[in-house]
Amino acid sequence: MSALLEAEGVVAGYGDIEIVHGFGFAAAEGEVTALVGANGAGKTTLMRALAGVLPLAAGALRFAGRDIAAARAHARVEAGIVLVPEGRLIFPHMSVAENLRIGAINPRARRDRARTADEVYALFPRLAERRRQLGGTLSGGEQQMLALGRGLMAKPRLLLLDEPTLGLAPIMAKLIFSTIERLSEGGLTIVIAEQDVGQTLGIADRAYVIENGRLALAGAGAALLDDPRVKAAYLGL
Amino acid sequence: MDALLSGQLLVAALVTGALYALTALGLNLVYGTMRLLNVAHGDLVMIGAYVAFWAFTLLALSPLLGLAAAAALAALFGLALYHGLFRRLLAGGKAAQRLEANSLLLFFGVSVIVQNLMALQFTATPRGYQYLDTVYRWGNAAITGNRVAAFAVAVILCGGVLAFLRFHVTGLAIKALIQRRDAAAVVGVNVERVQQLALCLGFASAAVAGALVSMTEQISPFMGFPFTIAAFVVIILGGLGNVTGGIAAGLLLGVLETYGVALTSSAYRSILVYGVFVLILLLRPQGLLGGRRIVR
Repeated sequence: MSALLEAEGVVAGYGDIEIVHGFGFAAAEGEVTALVGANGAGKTTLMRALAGVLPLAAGALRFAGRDIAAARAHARVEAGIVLVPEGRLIFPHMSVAENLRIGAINPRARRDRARTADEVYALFPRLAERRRQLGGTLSGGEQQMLALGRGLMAKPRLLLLDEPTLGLAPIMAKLIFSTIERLSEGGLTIVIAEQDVGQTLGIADRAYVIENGRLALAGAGAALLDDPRVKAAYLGL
Repeated sequence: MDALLSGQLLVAALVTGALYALTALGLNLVYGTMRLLNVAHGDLVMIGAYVAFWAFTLLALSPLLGLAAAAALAALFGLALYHGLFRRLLAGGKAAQRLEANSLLLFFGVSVIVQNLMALQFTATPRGYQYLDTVYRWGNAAITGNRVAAFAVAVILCGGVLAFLRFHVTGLAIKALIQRRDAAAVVGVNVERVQQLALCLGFASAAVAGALVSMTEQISPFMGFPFTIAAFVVIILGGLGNVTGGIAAGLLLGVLETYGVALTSSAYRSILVYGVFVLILLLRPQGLLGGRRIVR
């Protein structure tokens, strides 16, 4: 079990406002790594810094042994780090098929575009039905499927999932979680930040609790589920 | 009343509209992908016109070939501006938050400099040349060959750019940047490179429009401003960043202007164009075609 992604002392924020104050964690190859924390703890900021959408103010990032701290977002996608962002960020005036096509814009993914698209449509038959529909006219759940599918089109080695079930109906959230489990069983390395702490820890091999931009607690997903501090703070038990 | 129903006006309206559509297309690409307010856009039309003029008078080069030189020169100018002025502004930080306002001032400066350099170099005297000026007649409409050519080239180029945006993955990346800048970077679009491409394409299309205009009208260093205004009216009419809407709006403005002037007098041209501008801003600021924004 080697670490595919290693983050050390990551500092990130917006302008003068620092939100993540030196956070470190590792995502092991083939595992699901969870980042858990309250609203505003810095999960999304951290995810965006990992994807290169936000610059790192300080810290080190290694992906597959390579230093990627200075790499820009598109270079990280090409290396295989793909973010499915919070709020889904679908292109509203593009069709489902076009949204998927642009997901495969990195040169590594472009060649296999047609085959990857077939895999995505097999994973989400609903998207196949709505191939020609504009992204902005889909329901929230369908948009989440599209965001996930668009991420998969980039042929990720590491998939970063930021709040994939936020605002979804319970049945849709369940579908998204089962899809994530399927992807993980297929060998994909996943980092997931989620508000649904119970569900997330249930599927996570390893989890990190983030509080006020700092690491509060780390451990195996199942062990954290039983941790009294986690129970009190996040599970309401 | 007969004049209004004649084919003559319709032909004139279509030619003007197609040139507006092509000019505004460039402005839309630049604003859409970078949020740069290019108030020097009309000066690129002027530069394109001069390139075609000198290519024709000095080298006897057909303006239909000269427009390629105009496009290349404008694209290079765009690249130079990008690297000299805008790259750091776009990169983020505090300056990026005032990007629209700053770009307005910067482009205003560029406009003043370009106009005066041209006037210094080539004098302010209007110039013109004769090319394809045979008159063709269809029924009661008469049209010169150069207008037919200008219309055809503008339509082909607008169609070409639309097809590129629709079918090519780089075109999709431009649209992605227009629709959701943050998400474009997330999916792996090389934002900086796509911005440069959009800037080159935007500048080039204005210069080509200028080369086409030079076949049909006299040119001067100060001819650009009306095109800047028309282009802004068109992209607001069509919905900011909506490229297809902008092309339809360009044709519409050509029709409104041509028929409006025919009904009143050419002295009312500016009043008509600005009037449309003010009315749109008052009644439908999202644009005539920009109303169907469905975003969840």
